[in-house]
Amino acid sequence: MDCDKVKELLPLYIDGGLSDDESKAVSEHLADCPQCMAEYEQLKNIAAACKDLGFPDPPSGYKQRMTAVVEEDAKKRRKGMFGAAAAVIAAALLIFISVSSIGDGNVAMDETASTAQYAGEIAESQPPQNQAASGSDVSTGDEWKAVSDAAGASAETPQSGYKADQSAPTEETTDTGEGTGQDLAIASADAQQRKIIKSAYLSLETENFDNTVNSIIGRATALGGYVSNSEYNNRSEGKRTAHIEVKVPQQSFEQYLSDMGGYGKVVEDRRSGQDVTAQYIDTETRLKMLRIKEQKLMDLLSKAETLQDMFTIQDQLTNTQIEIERLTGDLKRWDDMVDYSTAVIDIYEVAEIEPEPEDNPNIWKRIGKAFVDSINAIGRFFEGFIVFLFGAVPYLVLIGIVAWGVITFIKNRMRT
Amino acid sequence: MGGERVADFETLFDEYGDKVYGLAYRLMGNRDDAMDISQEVFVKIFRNLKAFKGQSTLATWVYRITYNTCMDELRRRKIKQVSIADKSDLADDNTPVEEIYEADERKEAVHNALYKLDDDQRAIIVMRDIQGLSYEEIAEVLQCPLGTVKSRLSRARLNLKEILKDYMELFNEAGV
Ligand SMILES: [Zn+2]
Repeated sequence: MDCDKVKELLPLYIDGGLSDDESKAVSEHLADCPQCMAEYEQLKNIAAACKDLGFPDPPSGYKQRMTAVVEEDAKKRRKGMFGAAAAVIAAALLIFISVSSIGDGNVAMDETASTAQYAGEIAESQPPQNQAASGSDVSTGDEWKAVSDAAGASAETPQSGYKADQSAPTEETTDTGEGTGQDLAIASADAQQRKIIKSAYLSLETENFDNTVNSIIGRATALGGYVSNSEYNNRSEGKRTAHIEVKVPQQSFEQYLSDMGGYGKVVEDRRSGQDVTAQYIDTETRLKMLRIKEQKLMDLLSKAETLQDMFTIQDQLTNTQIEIERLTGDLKRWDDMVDYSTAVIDIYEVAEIEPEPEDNPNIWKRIGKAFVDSINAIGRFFEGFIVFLFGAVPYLVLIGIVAWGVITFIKNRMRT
Repeated sequence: MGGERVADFETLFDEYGDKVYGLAYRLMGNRDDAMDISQEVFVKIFRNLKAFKGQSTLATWVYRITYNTCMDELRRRKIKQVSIADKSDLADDNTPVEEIYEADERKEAVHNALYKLDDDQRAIIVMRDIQGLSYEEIAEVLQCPLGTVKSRLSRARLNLKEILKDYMELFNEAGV
């Protein structure tokens, strides 16, 4: 074994990271080569100095601070869920309305096309088929291309919004079946299980405040649910109010809501369901492709011969795995939200049950109600049409794609 | 929150609290960041404690969250840095690495050299040589094949030696 080869192996030799054969060959070389021996000592001493550095102790009050932060987060999260849901639905509706109200859809088409194109650009882990070959600038040949193809293949799934043809799609291509493809994918999901996030807002009046609160919480618990947030206030006239948010398993949700009438006078009862099936399927599909890609990259990595190849593949692999982790998190979040429906219940103590309480407790609550009212009105109007989007900003891109499909569908119908 | 979860968290914190902080400190290079990262990490752990199914050991799961949180933050800073038009002082980090003045010259040299490495290379040195995780554990933390760990570690150690070449007299004596 020559010095160059030994020097390449030394970094792993110092802590037994080599195979027995390699290790033995290096040992034998070191015995006769002072120069490599010196290099070995240096590497070993640097590693030892690292070990000496160790980890510093956390500052005092570390544990108290961590505990406080975690508890605060748990509290905030319980409070925030309903508000976040409402905000995202509102955003989805706004986009849907603004796109559909442009009329014949020409302008909207351009907008959504460029959105889709953008989606294609940022989804770099899924290059379109026609670009897959350009990903093979690494010198590992055919196998490498196969990986790119596997990733590119996702462009052919029914969720063809991701096709994102870089050559600016003409109206013809958008008319032929992009929308129907989307419809098909969603329709086939019916056979399995639709992913619907259900929530409800109720307000109740009661003369027997404690009983009502206890019943509402007790019933949720009995059905396998739990209270995710609760607040109790005394109003100025000495009457009490409660704001309770409960999570109830979806299959028991209707039952739970219909029981409310028994606990007080239901003044408001608003319900909504956001269908995230399309996004869910799309994410699942992308995840499947990414896992295939990950597997192939791992196979490649084990066969890679030069360090350069190894590093290039490894970078790809890291990116793929980051994306996989992100998408897995999205699916998990949706699953949680679908499995447990949210009911937000305001309870007002009254002396005598009045038909219409004059003073709402505060302006924000009123604004909140008006907001939910409007959303529900709009929601009913477009029912059956809209796939509500749930999630963070990246999903707004998906909303564009869905709207695109809807427009195509409408246009087809007008033509026949 | 259920008392059980709080108890779980207590146990977990007593076991890993210091390690999360230490790992974050070595990856980020200063105490402020280490504190912020630790907060984020424990929030994530607490949120996902129920979801943890033990495909990996609890330890590697905790370190993975810590590692990913640090790398996300470092990546975010880099993007920010590049997008800020003023590229003249690209080398200036948003949050400076704490200069340490160790009585031990070797430690000081190594500490400062670590932050001249690429982030992922520093991470692997920190986990292997400072924290003492095994190759297999590191592969689980990074969710990558063993071969990746070896090639990255190998490259990182050579680079670290290269960065330290002006201080090499500190590392020459045998068997320290
Ligand atoms: Zn030699």
